[in-house]
Amino acid sequence: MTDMTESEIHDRPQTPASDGCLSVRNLTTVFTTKRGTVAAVTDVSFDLRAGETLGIVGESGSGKSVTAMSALGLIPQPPGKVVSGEIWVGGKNLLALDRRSLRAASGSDIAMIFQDPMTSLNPVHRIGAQIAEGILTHQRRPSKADKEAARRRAVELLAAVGVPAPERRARQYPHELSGGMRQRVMIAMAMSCDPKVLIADEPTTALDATIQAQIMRLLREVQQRTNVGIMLITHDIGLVAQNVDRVLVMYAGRVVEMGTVEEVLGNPKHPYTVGLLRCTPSRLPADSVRRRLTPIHGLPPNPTDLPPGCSFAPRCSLRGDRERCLLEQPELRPAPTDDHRSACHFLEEVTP
Amino acid sequence: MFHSTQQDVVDPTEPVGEELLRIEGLKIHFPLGRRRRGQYAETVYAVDGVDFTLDKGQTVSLVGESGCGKSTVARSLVGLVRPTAGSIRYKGMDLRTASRSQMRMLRREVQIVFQDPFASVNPRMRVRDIIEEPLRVQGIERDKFVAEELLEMVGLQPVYANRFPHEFSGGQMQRIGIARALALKPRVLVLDEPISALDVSIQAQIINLLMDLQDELGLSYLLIAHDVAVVRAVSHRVLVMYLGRIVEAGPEVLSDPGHPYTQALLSAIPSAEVSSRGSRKEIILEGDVPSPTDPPSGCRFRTRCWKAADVCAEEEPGLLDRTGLGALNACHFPVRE
Repeated sequence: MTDMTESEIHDRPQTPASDGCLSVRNLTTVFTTKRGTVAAVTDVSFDLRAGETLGIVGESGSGKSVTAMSALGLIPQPPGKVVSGEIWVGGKNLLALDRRSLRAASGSDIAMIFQDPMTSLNPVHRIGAQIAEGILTHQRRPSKADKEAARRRAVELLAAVGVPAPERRARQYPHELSGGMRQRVMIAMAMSCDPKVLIADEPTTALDATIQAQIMRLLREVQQRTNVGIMLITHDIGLVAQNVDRVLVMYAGRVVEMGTVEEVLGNPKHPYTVGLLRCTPSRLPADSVRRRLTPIHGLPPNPTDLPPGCSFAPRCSLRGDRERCLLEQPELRPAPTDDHRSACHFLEEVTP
Repeated sequence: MFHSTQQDVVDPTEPVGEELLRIEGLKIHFPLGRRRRGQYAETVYAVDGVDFTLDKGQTVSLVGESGCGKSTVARSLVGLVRPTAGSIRYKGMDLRTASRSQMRMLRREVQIVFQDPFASVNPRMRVRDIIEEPLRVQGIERDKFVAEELLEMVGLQPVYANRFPHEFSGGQMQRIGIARALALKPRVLVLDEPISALDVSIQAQIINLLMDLQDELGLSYLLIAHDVAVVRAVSHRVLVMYLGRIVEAGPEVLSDPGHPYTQALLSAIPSAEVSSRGSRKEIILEGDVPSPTDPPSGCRFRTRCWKAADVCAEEEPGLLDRTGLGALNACHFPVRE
């Protein structure tokens, strides 16, 4: 639950950054459950610039996917509801649009690829037809020539994402493709209307390591070609370190740290980020054999029953017995510059 | 944490390094489709000639991508799938010829922990009954507080014994899965992706728990995982599998890979160090893993290998010590230092 009043929200800067291709302001999304209202995302603000990759890191339930789904109007209502905030893309506030305008914007302004390409493709339609469908959705009463053009464009798009024999593949069904090929098809589909923003929600989690490398290379190529801004949602610190420009670390529905990838991973200023990095096994030296990892103790908080102060306080190694962490919700503040912000009362004491 | 009355499995008279499991020429094939004139339409060569041993107190890990056969190997060790050919010996006893009583002993001493802790328990059973079930099945007399002691051993509160699975998080449930596997005082634990369903901060807790239990109880682990970094951190010996075969084996193969597939696999794991960005040598393999119903002739990796020559298609490379450094490598052109 947000503990902010309406007026407090409106006191904050409302205008999107001029160079941002996606600006999210004070986004709060809640779900109504039998046990009460759960704030899945609380007061999240960030900007994504054109040609930039922004990483959103966090564990399951931290609100990273809900942030993305809110942007696309994909939150099921009920039980979900975006209770406040603005999402600006290309001069439009997506949350203020009616259904029809939002439908027009999704795909052409903002597109998304999901974790599991099999569940996001329709198993009974051919690949080519599914890509063409997305293109035709944005045309009013497409003619026969339009349909033919969309079909040709689908084949071109398949070739552009490195699908071999695109003519033949366009006539195949999703089950005839491997997991990596399906994710290429999803990327082709997402890019079919030249979106300004591409949200990639765990795009490689279902894929094997060698295929993941192929897909990440493809996303980099697509970005260089189209200057699309990519929002990469992941729990893999390695993917973040190698692929993104700026990072947002989320915990229990809030942004706890944000900044350039070098700053956040190299000089973390929030105890949760420090803990996350410490327990990432790939950060152990390559020659370390039989090394104990440093876990974060305890469990993530129950979202129906968040502690009143800092959500991370019960697991925090820095807190000691300080009362303030349990009572007062920390705000994001410069650590020490505006480019690197942390929501910790004692961020000056955080050491990597 | 350690209760000698419950879990006294370490016999101090036994030498460390005693061989527990010996797998030789293991093949596991699955026929597909309908049989016509004694022939199946297709066969999945899931495991196709695998040899390794597991010593007491050791962790041997199988790494590889999906479909390489690593989980099938794990399942065959606890009798969940039958080998097509080859032998699995536990303490010298061949699983194919073992008597019923020998099999009972084997099932006590070799236990498995599954990937999805919720899918591997009955949601209507209390934790106490879940943990005690192996004892009941084996007809072993159980102390009143055996579940409580096992829960304490895996770092949970004893009062949890009266709760149901839905009351736990994934990490807690995996601890319960481990407690159940420990109930019979096994000597070998087969760990089939024990942490891949868990969040990063919880993964480290489970890995540390498994390492502590190994030190306390002298357990041997066969760890199946695809997370190279975790495997590197905990294993004494690593076996890299590709399409049903071991391509490289040794204690250091994940730090110092000699097989092109191991090199590509390691290169594909993004480093968590930002400083390494752009400076790392990146090997990105083209294409997908071929179908295990029709593996390539000769070396199975040759269709994606940048070193492949004619000999790779004609001759199957054996798993040999090719560099004289102790690691086994199945490549005609291993990296030489």
